[in-house]
Amino acid sequence: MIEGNADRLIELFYETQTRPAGPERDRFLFEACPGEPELREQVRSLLQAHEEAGGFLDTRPAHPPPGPAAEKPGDKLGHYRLVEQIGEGGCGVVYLAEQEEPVRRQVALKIIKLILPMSITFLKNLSLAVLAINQGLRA
Amino acid sequence: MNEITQNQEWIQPRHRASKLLPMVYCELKKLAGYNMAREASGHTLQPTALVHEAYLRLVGSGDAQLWGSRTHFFAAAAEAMRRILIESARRKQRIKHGGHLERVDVEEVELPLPLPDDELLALDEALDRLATVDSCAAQVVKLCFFAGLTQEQAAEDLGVSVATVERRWSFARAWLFRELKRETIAGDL
Repeated sequence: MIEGNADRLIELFYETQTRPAGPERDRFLFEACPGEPELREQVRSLLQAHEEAGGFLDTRPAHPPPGPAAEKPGDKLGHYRLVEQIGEGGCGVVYLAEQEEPVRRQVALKIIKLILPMSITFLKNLSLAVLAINQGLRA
Repeated sequence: MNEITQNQEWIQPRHRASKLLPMVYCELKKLAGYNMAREASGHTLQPTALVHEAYLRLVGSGDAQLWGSRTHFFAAAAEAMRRILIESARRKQRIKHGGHLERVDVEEVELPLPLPDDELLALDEALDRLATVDSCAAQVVKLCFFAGLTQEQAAEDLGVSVATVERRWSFARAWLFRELKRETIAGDL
């Protein structure tokens, strides 16, 4: 095996794993590497570990966040109507929007992509950033 | 030749990431500190949520040029978070073994550990061994487990297909589990 790259073992482990446990899987593994008992043993012990591992290293959130919102110009979000996208960053997308109530004006509306628990500090920084953008728009 | 050997670009971000590491490390420590302060209110965040918050603060704050791309950030953040969690786990171990009277640096932070401290330390060592077997598989674990990326995001960051990440994740999980089980058995003898 080449150091730092276990392609063959990984591929074989994957292919074997997708076959139903039992004679079919055993036969597949044997036929895939008949002259390499050590490799077969590696795959078998990994398959056993895979079956025993349960939720080991499970990083999926119990409630996966909803997918990205597919908002587009023309959509209405609360009191705002999206005019055009004016920026995109790590946090989300910034739209030029028309505020309709209580006053009619153009604003920058930042739509946050990630649904995460956010700290007060982060939200405070965010509102400062939005304020700065809006001051820039009005200037 | 397969995708991994063809595409060595995923190695590149790690080198760039090492330059950014101190900065992400400091930011994560700071956030972890805020996190501790929140403990009383019962609203502490999981380490992976802190990584995303650091992302929003550092990359989302408009310094995107410095970071180049998300990739550099998450590679650095996974390593930084790994270090912080390991420090935290080591401290817990010292306390367990009677070292609780030693001087504690006020800058030290505690985070909710994703695994019990002894398992986390064993995982960390096993991860280093995995890197010598398949470095891409180890990197996938770091990004998904320590930085909380989805497999799709990890694929994008590493510049490989989602199928490649899925296979490496599945392999890495079984491989690491097998390592930890061997250690547990050896430890019991």
